[in-house]
Amino acid sequence: MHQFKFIFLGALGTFFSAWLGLVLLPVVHYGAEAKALEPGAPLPERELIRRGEQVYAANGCVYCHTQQVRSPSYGNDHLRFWGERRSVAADYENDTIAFLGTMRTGPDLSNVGQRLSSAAWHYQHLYEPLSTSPGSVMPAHRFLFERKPVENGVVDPEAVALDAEGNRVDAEGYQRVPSAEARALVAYLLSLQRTVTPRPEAEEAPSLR
Amino acid sequence: MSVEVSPVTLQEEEKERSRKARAAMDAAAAGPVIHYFASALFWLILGSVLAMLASIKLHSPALLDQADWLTFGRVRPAHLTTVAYGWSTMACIGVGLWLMSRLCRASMRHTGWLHLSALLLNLGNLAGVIGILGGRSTSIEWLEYPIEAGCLIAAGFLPVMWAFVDMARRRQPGHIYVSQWYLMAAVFWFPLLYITVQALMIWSPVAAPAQPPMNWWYAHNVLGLWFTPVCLAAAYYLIPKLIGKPIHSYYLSLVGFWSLAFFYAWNGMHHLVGGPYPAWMIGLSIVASFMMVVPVIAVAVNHHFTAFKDIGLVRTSPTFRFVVFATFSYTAVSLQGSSMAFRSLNKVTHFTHYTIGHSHLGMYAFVTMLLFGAIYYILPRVTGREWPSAWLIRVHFWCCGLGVLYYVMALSIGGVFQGMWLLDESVPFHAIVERMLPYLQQRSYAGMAMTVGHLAFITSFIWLLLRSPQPASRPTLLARAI
Repeated sequence: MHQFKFIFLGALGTFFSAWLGLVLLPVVHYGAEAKALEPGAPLPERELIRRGEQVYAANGCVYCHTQQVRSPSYGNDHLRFWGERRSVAADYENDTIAFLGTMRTGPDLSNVGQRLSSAAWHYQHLYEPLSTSPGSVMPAHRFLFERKPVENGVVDPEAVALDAEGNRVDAEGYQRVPSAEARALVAYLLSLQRTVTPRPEAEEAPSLR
Repeated sequence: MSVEVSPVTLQEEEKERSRKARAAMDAAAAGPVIHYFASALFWLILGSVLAMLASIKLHSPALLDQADWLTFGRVRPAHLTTVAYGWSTMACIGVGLWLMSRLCRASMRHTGWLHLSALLLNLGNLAGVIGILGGRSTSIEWLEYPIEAGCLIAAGFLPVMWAFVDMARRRQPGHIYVSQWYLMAAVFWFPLLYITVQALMIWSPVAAPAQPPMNWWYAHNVLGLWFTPVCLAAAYYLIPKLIGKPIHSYYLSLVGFWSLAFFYAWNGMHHLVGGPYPAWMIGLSIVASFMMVVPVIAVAVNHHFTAFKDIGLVRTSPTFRFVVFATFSYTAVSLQGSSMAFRSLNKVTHFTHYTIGHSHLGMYAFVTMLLFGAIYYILPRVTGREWPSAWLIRVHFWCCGLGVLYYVMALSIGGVFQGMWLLDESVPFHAIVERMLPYLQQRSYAGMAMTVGHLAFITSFIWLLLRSPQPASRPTLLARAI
């Protein structure tokens, strides 16, 4: 080859063929604009969930947790109770980012809001993962909690347990209550019920056999 | 009276002219190339520290767990982005610029712009790391840097494109060597990839369901259409240069280049096998992944057959030793990558550490080892100084080489077990977490060895720059194998 223009045109041609197929086509197919959350949830709740999505991104939950259920013909996600049907693209249409994930150091979270529906459990788990999940290697997210003094002897109902006995107040008379970020994150986690709604496209194609 | 000029003298004069021309090109390239290499090394060391933190946290999560900015989910993307856009990208630019100058036989001009470009890339990486650790990561894999960092990196790349085009336009007429094809294509592919995804995922995000396909289209192509072509270009240049014999086959190099350009761009969706997308999209990527065997075998035959014309050189030449290690890793990682797209294997390995092992076989055992080799070749030429210590080079090679092989082995074996346990619902999830701990610990040990190698390299690098120039010195050879 003696001329750069052939290399140039060829390299751009092959590049843009894939660009059309893998970038433009999905955009046309799934829509170019991020959609608003479905109108079911009241507005403050929706804003809290959006904020929680940002906390999820900021702290990199996606590096250990997937949010995609594979079909029963492709693994046993259903037998681990991660979802009753496989995930489809439309399951993410209310999100800003689709946190599909690539690694299962921890369990899949597609339906964690359905599987573990108690906010108190999530607060406790975020504060000290080993207290709810023995053997866990999840980092403790104590930085998502505020250290507050107990006033008039009333312990905040959302204060987390600080030791194995379940004490919620430390020796100096302080408790740990969820910060605004922790509240948003837990609201987001509880909203994750992706495969609860049935979708026709999730039905398995009839087997060729 | 006539003066007789013997052919020998003419040949000598020609050689001398050519030597002077090369010296002039190297002198012009010196500033930007050293700027890029020194920046790259800074990010390599920072990336290694972040890597060690992330790796240890995965088996000992109590380490430094009080501060939000040191939590695993921030340190891990900070590691990936600093080694990808700080170390590998900046080292690739330095190597690419020097190769382009030598191959076009055109001196670099207006190097102030290239210094500005290096400065913008450094600022971009700095803003990116601060952004991620400060809690503004996008959590889009390979694109975690917040918006301002992406803008700085995109802007910083433009002078590099311009410098490549400028050198290509002023090249000596004649045949264009295979390394130049790869370099010219890569210098356009990278900004096109990067700006496309920045625009559609970060500046003005498209709907969430459309994001993962473009995320993996990018994250896979940045490997195959940016790091890979620059490193293959360097290997195509260095192997024949070092052994003094031509490349095995011109036609195979054509096949290798065009089939890479054609098939690679379609590979990305194999990261979403089993995921929530239509079968045709994923099927296409599986086929394209399998077709990657074509460019890989073509390049492998060319590199290995050429290298084996004088393979004994690995005993003495630092560059050759690193380059041969890297080209064998390229063959291995590419064939492994094709096999991983198969449904039967993918079903096991998809969500496991096997993938992390694979990515380090590619980005480290191939890309990073090749960049090390290229820097060992280029730096003495642009500075007029030789590497100060053969011992440090040996420490660098063995720590990094054995380290990465051990790393890949630990995660590949652990990853396959992890995948098989995940598929066996009788193994409770917490048991898998516990059974993976030994493999993750081995990975930390491997990472420590690699970090020691990096420290040996940066010591050599700084020591070399501090020496006074020795114009007529002999190259530093390894003298013995270990």
